[in-house]
Amino acid sequence: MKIMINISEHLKDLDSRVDNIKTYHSFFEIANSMSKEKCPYDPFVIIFGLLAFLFYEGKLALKKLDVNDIIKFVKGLLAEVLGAEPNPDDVRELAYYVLDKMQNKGAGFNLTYYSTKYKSTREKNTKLIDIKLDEKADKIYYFITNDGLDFYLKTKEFIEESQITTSLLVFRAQIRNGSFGNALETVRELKIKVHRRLDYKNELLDLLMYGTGEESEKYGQYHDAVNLLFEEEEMLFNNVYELLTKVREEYLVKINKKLLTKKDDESLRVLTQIDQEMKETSFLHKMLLNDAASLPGEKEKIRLMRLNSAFSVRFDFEKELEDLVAGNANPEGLKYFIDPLLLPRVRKSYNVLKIFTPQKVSEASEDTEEIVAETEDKPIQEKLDDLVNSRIGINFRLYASLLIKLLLERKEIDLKDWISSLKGFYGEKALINGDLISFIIQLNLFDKWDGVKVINLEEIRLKPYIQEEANEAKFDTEYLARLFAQITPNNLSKVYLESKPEEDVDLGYGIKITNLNFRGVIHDFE
Amino acid sequence: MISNKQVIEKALDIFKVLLARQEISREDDRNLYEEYLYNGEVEEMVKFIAEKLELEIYNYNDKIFMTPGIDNKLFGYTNEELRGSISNINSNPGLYTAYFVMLVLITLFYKQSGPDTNRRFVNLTELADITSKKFEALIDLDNLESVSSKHAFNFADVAKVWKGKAFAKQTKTGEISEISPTTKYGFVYGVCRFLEQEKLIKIVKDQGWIVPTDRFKGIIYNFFEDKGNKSLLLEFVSNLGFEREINHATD
Repeated sequence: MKIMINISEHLKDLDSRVDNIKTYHSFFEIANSMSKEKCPYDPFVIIFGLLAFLFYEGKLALKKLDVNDIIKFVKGLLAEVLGAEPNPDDVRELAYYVLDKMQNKGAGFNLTYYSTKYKSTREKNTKLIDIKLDEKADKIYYFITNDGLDFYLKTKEFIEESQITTSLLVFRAQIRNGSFGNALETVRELKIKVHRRLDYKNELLDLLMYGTGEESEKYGQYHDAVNLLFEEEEMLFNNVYELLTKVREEYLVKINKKLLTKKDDESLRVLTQIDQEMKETSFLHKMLLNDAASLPGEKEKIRLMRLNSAFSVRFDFEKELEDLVAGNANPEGLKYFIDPLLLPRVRKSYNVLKIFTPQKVSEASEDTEEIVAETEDKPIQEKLDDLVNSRIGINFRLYASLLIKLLLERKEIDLKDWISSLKGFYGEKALINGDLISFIIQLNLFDKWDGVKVINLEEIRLKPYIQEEANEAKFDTEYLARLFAQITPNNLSKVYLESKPEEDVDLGYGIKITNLNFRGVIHDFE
Repeated sequence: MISNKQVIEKALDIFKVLLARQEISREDDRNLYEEYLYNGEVEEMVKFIAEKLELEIYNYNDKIFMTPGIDNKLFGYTNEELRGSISNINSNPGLYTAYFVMLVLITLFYKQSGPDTNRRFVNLTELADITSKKFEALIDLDNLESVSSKHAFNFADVAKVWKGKAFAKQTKTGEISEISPTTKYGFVYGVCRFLEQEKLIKIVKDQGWIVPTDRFKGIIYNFFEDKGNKSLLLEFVSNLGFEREINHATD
């Protein structure tokens, strides 16, 4: 059957149409993949909630958000919006599940389609949220991606990016008319739009780097259409800012003359907020101008990089591995694939000459001189501090050992159980020992989130311990956590410590302390 | 008299930091980083020293890294050293199995080498599962005996090590633990711990994720995309096969 319409003409925009729907596709993939068993809550609330959190609390507030922030947010979201209050373990598990689903195990979402423009099958990969490894802080941070932000804004009938000018004009009219409440909303939306435009530059750079054809067209559009708007916007920003300052000054004059009514007072309060938002937006817009100016240079750098990469060759790891195995080659060959990735191994060996240094058989070397002189001049003396530290260390170890012993036997105990066991072992007098009180104080000092502190013994065991050269021994929470990790068997991975502020434990002699609950986590793997 | 003493001094400063701390970043070592990036003479000198020591220097994401390349006798690991560095590996087939797991991890992050990974993270359990699937797809696990009898060491020996390990699972809350190396999961975890020490990945324990570092991405992009390096690597692999043929002939 002959098609009556010019279908090729109608399909020439297919690429941009797919581009527009790719984020919706990701959204529904996420929502549909969530199992009721693991996420018994409405997926729309969870997904939009997390996007809003990452946008407002992360991007707009310029704050780095880690997994703990997200767990706290999920807890708040469930309580505030859905009226649910699951236990901390379930909240954590849900947060991990949602983060995993929203990133599709880190791979993002692929939308495959046939491009009538490029006459080939193409793939669009979309991520609504993403992670960044901060190697220095040794932390993973979560953020909303440009696609995620686009999706979040588009689904709220948001105005196109080219309409910053319109927003500024509307804003100016609102200030002139004295509708400051609306003006505050407008300036906040304006800030989001400027943010979005700033992100677009990075998106464009990514596209220039990895794009497969569409990058030149998009760069051209940005350069010709959007760049031209900047000057006009800059003028309008200055213009609006002047107007805003003038209106505020009028109110400030009224204050001086003590003519301020209650309504004026409210208006001035909103105007101050507007002024703050406007300052931030104006600053962001200046950044935008600088970014736009540097774009051609960066584009050229990327062009040269891509030109160079034309002479390089892609290494197909999968194929090379298969060839190696299929050819039944010597498996030692695998080493050559891994060798380049490993750190240069700097071999160190013991300087045999050093054995002479302490005996002073020969003259002390430069690096040992100081130590030798010290030990020679001062006789070894045990200080009172050392004796006290040694006593506290021994007592803390006794207390901790008994606590862990009970925890391994019963999995869950409280302070009362431990105190009574202590009494049974060491007698009534053990309870009035000052070290016991300071041990209990340290237990209470563990930083608790929602009343619960998790001491991750496994993590502590893995961390190298660097003894600080402090004059005073520290018997703090860090010391306690490490002590627990040292004396517990490996299958005890965590200890949950929960305050029970409503319960007191009587130690006798008029001493009362807040009760604590201890719960041990023992692995359930096969 | 040394004519370009200042350049040598700066180059050696850079080299010293690279050997001691394994990376130089724009954020933490601005002076050294910019000296390398914008002073052509210093860059040339650093590369010259590196070349003489069979090392290679790369710049990626505002950081400079150093790699020992392939089969570096001075700065590379020997099999024995590697066996001592990766948890619970005490035989060469065990070590080759660890290499296999590492290569599977690379294939999960990259279809082909490129400037960035396809994925932001890979789950530890997924790595164990995919390694099993790769072994199943590439080697006939049911007939290991007949295959392995042909040579002293081959992939069947590697597959045997893997097959001999039991399955393991994560705890209910997705926690990971240093579980027994007799399990597949425990083995993979041990390998990943080594890769983390080598600053190639970060293990996010609570979520069971493996996240690649800039060092990992920088070396994959720079080293493996180089035509010369690729030929050299494949030449080494093929020479191993050749050596083995000679050894068998003389046995």
